[in-house]
Amino acid sequence: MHRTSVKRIVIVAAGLIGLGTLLSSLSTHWGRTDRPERARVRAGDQMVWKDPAFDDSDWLTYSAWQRLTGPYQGNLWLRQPLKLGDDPSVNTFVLVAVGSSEVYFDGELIGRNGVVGDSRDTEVPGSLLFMCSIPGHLLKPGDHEVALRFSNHRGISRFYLLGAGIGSIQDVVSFTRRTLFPFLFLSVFLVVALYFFVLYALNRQQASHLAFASLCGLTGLLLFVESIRSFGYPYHWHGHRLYLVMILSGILAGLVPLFFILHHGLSRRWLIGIPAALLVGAAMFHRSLDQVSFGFFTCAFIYAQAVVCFAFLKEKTDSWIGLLGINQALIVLALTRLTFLEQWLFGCFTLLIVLMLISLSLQSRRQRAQFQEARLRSARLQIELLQKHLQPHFMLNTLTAVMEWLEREPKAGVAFVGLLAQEMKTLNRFSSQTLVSLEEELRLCRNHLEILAYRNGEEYPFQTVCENPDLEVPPAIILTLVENGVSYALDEGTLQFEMRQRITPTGRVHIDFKAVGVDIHIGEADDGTGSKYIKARLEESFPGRWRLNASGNEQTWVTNIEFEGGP
Amino acid sequence: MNILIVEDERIIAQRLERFIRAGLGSKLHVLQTAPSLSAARLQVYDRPWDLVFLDLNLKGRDGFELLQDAVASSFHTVVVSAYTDRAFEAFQYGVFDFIGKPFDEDRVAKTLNTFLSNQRGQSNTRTLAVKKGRDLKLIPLEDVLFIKAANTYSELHLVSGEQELHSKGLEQLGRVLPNDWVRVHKSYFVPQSRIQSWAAAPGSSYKVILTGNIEIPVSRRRYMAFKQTWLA
Repeated sequence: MHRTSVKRIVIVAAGLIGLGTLLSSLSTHWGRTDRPERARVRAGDQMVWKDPAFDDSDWLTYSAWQRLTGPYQGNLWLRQPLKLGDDPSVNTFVLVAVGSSEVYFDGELIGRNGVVGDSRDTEVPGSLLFMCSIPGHLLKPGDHEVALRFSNHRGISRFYLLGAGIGSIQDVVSFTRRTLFPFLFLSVFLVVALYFFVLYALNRQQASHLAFASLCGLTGLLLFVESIRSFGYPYHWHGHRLYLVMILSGILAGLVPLFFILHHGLSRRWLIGIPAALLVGAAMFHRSLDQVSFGFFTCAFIYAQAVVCFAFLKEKTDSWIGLLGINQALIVLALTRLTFLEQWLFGCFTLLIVLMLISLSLQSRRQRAQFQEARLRSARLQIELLQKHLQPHFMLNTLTAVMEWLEREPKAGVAFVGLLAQEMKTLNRFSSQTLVSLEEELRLCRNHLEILAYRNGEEYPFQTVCENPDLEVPPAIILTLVENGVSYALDEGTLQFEMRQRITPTGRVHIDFKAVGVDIHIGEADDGTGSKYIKARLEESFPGRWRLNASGNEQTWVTNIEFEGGP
Repeated sequence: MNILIVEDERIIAQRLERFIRAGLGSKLHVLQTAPSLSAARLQVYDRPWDLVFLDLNLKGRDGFELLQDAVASSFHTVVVSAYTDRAFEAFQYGVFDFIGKPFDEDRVAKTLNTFLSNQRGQSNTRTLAVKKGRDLKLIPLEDVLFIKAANTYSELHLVSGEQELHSKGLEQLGRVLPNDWVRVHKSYFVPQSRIQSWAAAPGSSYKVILTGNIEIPVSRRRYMAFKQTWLA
């Protein structure tokens, strides 16, 4: 299939998934669907309400009471009919509620969770999770009435009944085991987070590592804060815990798009969308803390979807991995809706984190390969620079000329040897550098031309104009141009060189080099070692920010080198 | 003696000139320097040269093509090069001598002396280059059955039955042939490895029989020397 059509299909599908998730979350019925609607509630505190025969028909149902009351602190009762079967092992009453409580079974007190009081001072906070066994004489098959006496003077926001029911000890134990299961993941998240924190702290190069570390760490933290419920804690912590969950959810949700923006190196402008998405999420689902958390995830995922789609369109490396991760999260969110936070969030984030990890590993493998390549290239260039002058044609011809001068005119011979030594010293120093000042480079060129003058008995004029001779260039690139010029010098006539350095107001450095008196046809045909060396050197110091143009006419060979100043 | 120097570096050319003048003295007739390939191509037809000193790396370019051209000519070639590792290759093409850079006066004198004393050169010729019109043909020496003098040229008789004409006279060509090529007659060079037998022919003339029953005449003087070698 055509590349662009594949791309189009992927983007359309991703868009539909994002839209579907949004619609699904908007159509979600808030209020607990599994809430026992038989439960009736009344604010206040009268002991007659424990009586199973008491007529509570004028009490409000739990959900109606919640709707009407909103935030509540004080005393209240909750009454609920209960049916017992034949199974005698079902003898444990489990209560999860935000308040101190007393449990009355058919009017008989069977459990106390903290001390119910009429004020903050008289109340002793009970645990969020409470269990008590139903005494044997009450365990008769048939209909029963449970009355729950609550006080939540230390509560924050609303009173919540999260669950009330009966079961066997086995049920309770297996439930507790299930809730401990997420703790297995905790250490994994924390170790991965620690690893990437350290990685970031040591290199300080990739912000995406920090984002990923935070993402893992927060997932672990959120997991801990969510799962701690099954350990039970004083009921009044519950509100604080919900706030904490909301805040952690908000940060965690925001980190998802942040990670992909950093990982794919997108424009910083994308960052503005993250707080915007979180605000929209909070505004759309503001009715309870749980809802706000849900809104954070929904909107942040949808925004992350936009981010990864953009990265995919821009053909960023491995962007399909992010696309996969976000879409699985969106699909899970759309399908599970309310239960997402409690049951699916961690599975979903585990998968997302694994995909991110794969993406990061691939990236780091690529970077390692690039680094290796760059190092090899630098080493090769170093060798090339030295080799240029150790190659027999230069070295042995020069030595032959040295012999001749020493025999014919010892003084000139000694001066010649001095020049040669100077060139060797300079090249040796240059070989370990990737940039040298233009002034040094030009000095090397002049030195080299003097050597050639001794060898060939010819002077080569070299005119230079520099705006800033301190500005750096890769070593021996102008020398290479000079050598090329000498190699292709015409058999007749004089050879001369000109070099002009210009700096544009935007900071681009132009080096215009001209060799007059060369055979331009040979120069044209040659893309040999000379220009290859120059290009490799420019790429080494100014990756992607340089240009080299060469052209020739009428015995003149012009080379324009252009790069952005500063490596 | 006429000597041409092909060298683009003026100082080195001057050095060669100096040593050649010193080495040959009055035996030197003409000494010229060609500073470039194009100049050399023109000057080579100026007069019959005896020796050409050739820098293989003119202006940094490989002069091997030039070398093949040179060895196919009537004159002898002495390669003067910085690339001593190419010496072996040069000798296989039949250069007379190879002088590595840097060189001193003794080294040049040695080459000149070898040449003047009519000794064989340093060559280890494996391939002979033959001019055919404007083209060059490279003939592996192992394909050559025997070489026969033909005026100022030499006839290469090949195993295939073909014949090629080399610009060097037999005398000069002989100086770059490997040592297992022997001159059995004023007009013949044969490789020892191809000789099957030797025989005295009627009328006190002599001959050798090469593989393929080819008979080559042998001079009496060379027969005696040859017999000594053969029986030794």
